Amino acid sequence: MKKTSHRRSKSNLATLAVLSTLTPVTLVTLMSVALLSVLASGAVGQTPTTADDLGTRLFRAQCSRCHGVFGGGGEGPPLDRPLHHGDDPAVLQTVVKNGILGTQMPEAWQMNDREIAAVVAHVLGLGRVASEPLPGHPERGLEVYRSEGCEACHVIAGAGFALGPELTQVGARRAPAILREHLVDPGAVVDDRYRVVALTLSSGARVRGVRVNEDAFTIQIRDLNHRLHSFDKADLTAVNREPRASLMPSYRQLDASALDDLVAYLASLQGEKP
Amino acid sequence: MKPALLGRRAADRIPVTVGLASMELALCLALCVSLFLTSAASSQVTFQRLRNSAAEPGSWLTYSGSYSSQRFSSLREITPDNVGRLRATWVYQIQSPGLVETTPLVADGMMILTEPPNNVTALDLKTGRSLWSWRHPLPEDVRTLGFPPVNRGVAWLGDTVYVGTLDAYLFALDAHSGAVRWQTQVADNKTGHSITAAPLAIDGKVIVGISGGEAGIRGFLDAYDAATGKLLWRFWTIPGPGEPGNETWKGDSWKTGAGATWITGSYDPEIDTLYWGIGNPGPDWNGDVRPGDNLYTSSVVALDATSGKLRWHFQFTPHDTHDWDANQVPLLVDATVDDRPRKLLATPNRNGFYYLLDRANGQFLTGVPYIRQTWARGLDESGRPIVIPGTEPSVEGTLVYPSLQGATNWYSPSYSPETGMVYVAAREMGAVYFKGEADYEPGEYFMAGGEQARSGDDAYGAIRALDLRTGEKKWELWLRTPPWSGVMSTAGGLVFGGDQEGNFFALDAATGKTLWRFQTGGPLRSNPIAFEIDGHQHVATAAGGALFVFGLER
Repeated sequence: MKKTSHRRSKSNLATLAVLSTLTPVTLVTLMSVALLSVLASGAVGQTPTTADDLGTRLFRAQCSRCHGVFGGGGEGPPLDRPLHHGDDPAVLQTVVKNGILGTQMPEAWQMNDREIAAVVAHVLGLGRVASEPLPGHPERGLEVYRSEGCEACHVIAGAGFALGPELTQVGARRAPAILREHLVDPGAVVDDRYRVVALTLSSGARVRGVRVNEDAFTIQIRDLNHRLHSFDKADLTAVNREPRASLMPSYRQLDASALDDLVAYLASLQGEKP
Repeated sequence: MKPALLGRRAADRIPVTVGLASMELALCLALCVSLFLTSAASSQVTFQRLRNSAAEPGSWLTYSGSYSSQRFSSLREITPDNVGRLRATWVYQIQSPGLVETTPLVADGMMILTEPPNNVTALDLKTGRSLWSWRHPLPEDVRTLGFPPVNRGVAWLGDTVYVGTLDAYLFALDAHSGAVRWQTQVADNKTGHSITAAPLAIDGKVIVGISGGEAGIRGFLDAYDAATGKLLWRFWTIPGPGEPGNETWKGDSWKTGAGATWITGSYDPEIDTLYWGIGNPGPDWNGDVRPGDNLYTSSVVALDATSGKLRWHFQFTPHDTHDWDANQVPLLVDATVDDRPRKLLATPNRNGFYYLLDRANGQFLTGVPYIRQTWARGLDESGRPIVIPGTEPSVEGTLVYPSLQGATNWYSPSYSPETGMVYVAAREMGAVYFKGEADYEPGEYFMAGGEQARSGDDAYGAIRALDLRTGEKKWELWLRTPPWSGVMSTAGGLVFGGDQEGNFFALDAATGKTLWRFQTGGPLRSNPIAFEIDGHQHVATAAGGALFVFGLER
């Protein structure tokens, strides 16, 4: 019991502050993208149990859009290898039931205890594969991270600036293939928390940045210089939300080995906060 | 009106409910008796007052402001021209943690509200200072299956207020002190029965709805003798064997058919008829075990208030599999339709359609969508939905609009006789619905599935104004997220409402233009009310963990 609560609180603490790039909603919207990318990446575990099995059916319906049809991961971490939360079914059932605060892992109130137990049994039955070796070198990736100026917008273990998501634990939360996709096409999937908006003031001036908050009457954004702007919407002539835009530049042009190194570095970030 | 006396009595009586040395208690009781003799007549909320609530708009005597539940205040002091001068008069900090969904009542210098989980507090209306507080300790294993531990308010009749508790008791409290006059067990909480709704007080009776629609209860609506707590009648929302409607259930499925009554209904005293919304069938998302229409779930029922007998019913969502309870407050309106004066019932339903019925007989008059919905092609001439195949929950998940929280939810709509518009806080949100297993265990969830709702920028909310007769949208105010707060309209020409972002706002009732707003600092999950302090109009709403009262700066 003590062990359980310790593990849970630890994971909550760690995940609370880790900003990610997707909401559950967007996850639903992007189900097919996630599934395709996981399948395409070849992140496929061992032969799963039959689809008639309750746990398999539930996993494929309700978990696979983030964790992959065969548990190989996607927008959520892979489950076909040693698990972050260990392999105690009771612990895992609690994780599934309550979700993980501050992450996109939702509580599973729609499943009863028997169904949750079946899902956990399915997860524990997934293949246990060693993490696939990545082509890049994490140490060189850190150099790329620094030379490309990523610290201007991301925090890792307390260092950097937080215009974009914190990356301290991103390797534990995203499959490498997804990390690569985000680097190449940052606007493809953007969390609502990093929504880019372009505002036109009554004067005609324009301000563009990341939406920090918004309600029916006001909006707060932070521009690329990290400057906070707060407006009454009555003073604006246009509020353009850009769902396919990110303030992050694409690293498509990076040479292939540097991109491999950067992915390897990000994938290595499994760490605790300072 | 003796505010000074009330204040004095309050100060003396506060300790009574929290424990006091016996000498002080004796002194206090003696004082109370004398005060009671001098001021009892000043706070008798009689049935006549309740019935004629429109005649005293300075009070807010019942959950929806009147038996017709229009949540309309005939006060005119606050107008579009001067609402910009609205300022906070006082704020009461809720004394217990949890969601605050209360609608306070106001009469005779007092405001009586509930605090989570089911405490009752009386405040001095003028100052917001506490007069008394009553707490009902709950068992540690109290069952609140399918909803948070909330309470939405009290009913007031005579000098007694009535409150339901999460462990399914009904308490009658002295309105002057909070002392318990009687209590009665409405149902067994161990089977998931619970009470969150404000009771409705009518002539000598207290009408009480039950929660437990996700626990496979067999729903009912009860009437208790206001003086003694004796059960006068019970209307089962799921007909038993031999009763009409039982044939809409298969086998024993009626026994766990749900049909909760968890939101306060309306009353037409002229024809002694109650109108009450009935909740979803059980299990919620897997209809395979209950083939048929599943009467009287997801319906509104009209009941003879004296006998509890069914006069008519109208089912909005036959064989519901999306948890679209009809637990909304029915708006009772008398108006001319097709050149004929009629008694009407208007309700924006959770399933996405706005309905207008003849409340004398339940006849369907109009029904149109008021949000994006993807499950029905429309309604046929009897008002029955023409369901699009393939929109049921499935193991793989089925995307349907609206989400299970519905196009609106428990919080109140409003109708203004001045504009002829129905105002509703609407939810534009879809969900992927899952179908799961249905095993019934007493006191456990009996839902068989659920949803993953689309949220974030994929969802939003709106305050919408609909034409009473046609349901046509007249205006709307966009809200960042689907709301959880009701609306109130006023004769001054305003609509008050709130959002999840903490804004409490006043809109022009005719155009929807935002005329005033206040950032309360917490989400609104309540219903606004209006009343007078010292002859001047005020409005109040709960927001976050506090109750705010506003009046014009003078």
